[in-house]
Amino acid sequence: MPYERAMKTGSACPPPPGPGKLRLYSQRFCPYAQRTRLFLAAKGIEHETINVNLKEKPEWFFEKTPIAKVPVLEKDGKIVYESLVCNEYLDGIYPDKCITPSDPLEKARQSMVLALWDAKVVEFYYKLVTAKEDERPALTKQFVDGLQFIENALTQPFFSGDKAGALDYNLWPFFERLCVLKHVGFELSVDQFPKLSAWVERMMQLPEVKACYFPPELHVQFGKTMMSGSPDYDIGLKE
Amino acid sequence: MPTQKAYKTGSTAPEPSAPGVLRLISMRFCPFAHRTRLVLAAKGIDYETVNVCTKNKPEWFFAINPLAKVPTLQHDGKVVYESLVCNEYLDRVFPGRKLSPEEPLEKARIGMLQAIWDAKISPNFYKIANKDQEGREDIIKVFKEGMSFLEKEVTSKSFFGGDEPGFLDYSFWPWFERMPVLEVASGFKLEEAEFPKLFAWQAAMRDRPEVKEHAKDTPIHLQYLMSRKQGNPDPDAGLQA
Repeated sequence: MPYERAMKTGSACPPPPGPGKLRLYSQRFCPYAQRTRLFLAAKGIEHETINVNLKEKPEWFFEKTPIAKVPVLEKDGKIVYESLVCNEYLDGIYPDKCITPSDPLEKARQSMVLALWDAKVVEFYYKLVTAKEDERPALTKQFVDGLQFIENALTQPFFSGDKAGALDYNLWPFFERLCVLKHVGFELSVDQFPKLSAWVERMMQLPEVKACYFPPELHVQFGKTMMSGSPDYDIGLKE
Repeated sequence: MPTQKAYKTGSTAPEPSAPGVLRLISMRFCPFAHRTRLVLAAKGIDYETVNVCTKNKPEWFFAINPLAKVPTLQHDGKVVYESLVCNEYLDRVFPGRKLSPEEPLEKARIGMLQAIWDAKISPNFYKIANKDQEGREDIIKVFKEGMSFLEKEVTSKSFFGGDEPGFLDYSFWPWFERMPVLEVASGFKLEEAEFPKLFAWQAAMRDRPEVKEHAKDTPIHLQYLMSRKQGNPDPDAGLQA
């Protein structure tokens, strides 16, 4: 299914999806939206996608969600936003192939790993992308130290156990984009991160990951347009 | 009787709790830990408390929780941290009144209102206390925008959780208890005329036994805030020597 061009400021509000139809508001390069796209793919849920320009947001988008971020789900007049909330909601309304862990302690454990990710890794990830040459060594060290916590949390083939689960899909989008850090000198080394490296290989084999995957060149290309201040959300779309 | 005094850097770790005993690592003035103390009280769960200094953290705390933040729960070798993760865990694992709905959209609504709180209200709370805060007027505008979402949500019910307080009520309450501090520190307050439902909700919350059990009055909250502003937060403020 071809992705649509990102709708921007001044665009007309698209009519709501038909009865019983699920719509995802997304942005082709957003890692948070990809979390929800992975859940949709893993659960085999049919849906339509409308991409939104997050730099020049359409006015109608603020009516859907006051936070004006993607992902957003819309179905039969109901709106859900926030990637993790969307993902749990999908498991709630499509209970087949439930991905969210049902055991309370396991669910808590997965949430805590994401908290570690948010506190120890994400901040340095974004800072590293835009870092000046002299800032890179210190930021890289902080990033690598943070990533070690995630490496330590991976005690089975997948974060969720024998098979990929919620935590795997919620973390994956950031690992797909690690290539963007190559230009500042970071690569996921199999010596430093043997378990994460093996996990990346396993994830890349999964059909749902492949279905949502963009190759490194495309991520790097998009990243450059972001850094230039004029993100091109439609990069890679056929004319 | 175990001490309420906060363990600091250089302290020896407390003895582990007895088997089956739930331990909460906390700090008496932390609003995030307050969320979990409210849920523990609401569900009538027995537990013991170990307070830590969140500025000069005891080294042993990092071995339990790499983020070394409160609240942290310890229960027969299991560790749970992050206030809302703790609260969900307690709600699901312990008996007593259920604080969260099962219905998927109702559950999602909790997550979404929490996201609005996290985006518009809590990051701005203490900034408002600072009269000299740069861009304070814009910050107040965003803060009130967030509050207007809460005002809309609490419309037809007494509490965010319905007839009785639930997950969101206990998540938000600690900041409302501290709001009079904003007024003393900087003259800021919400107007009842603008937020009538929120004011009614606050009155209803103040009447709840679980809220009263953990309530601290404005002077002591202010004392802690002042100690924090001076760079030397006193987690033991108000404790007898």
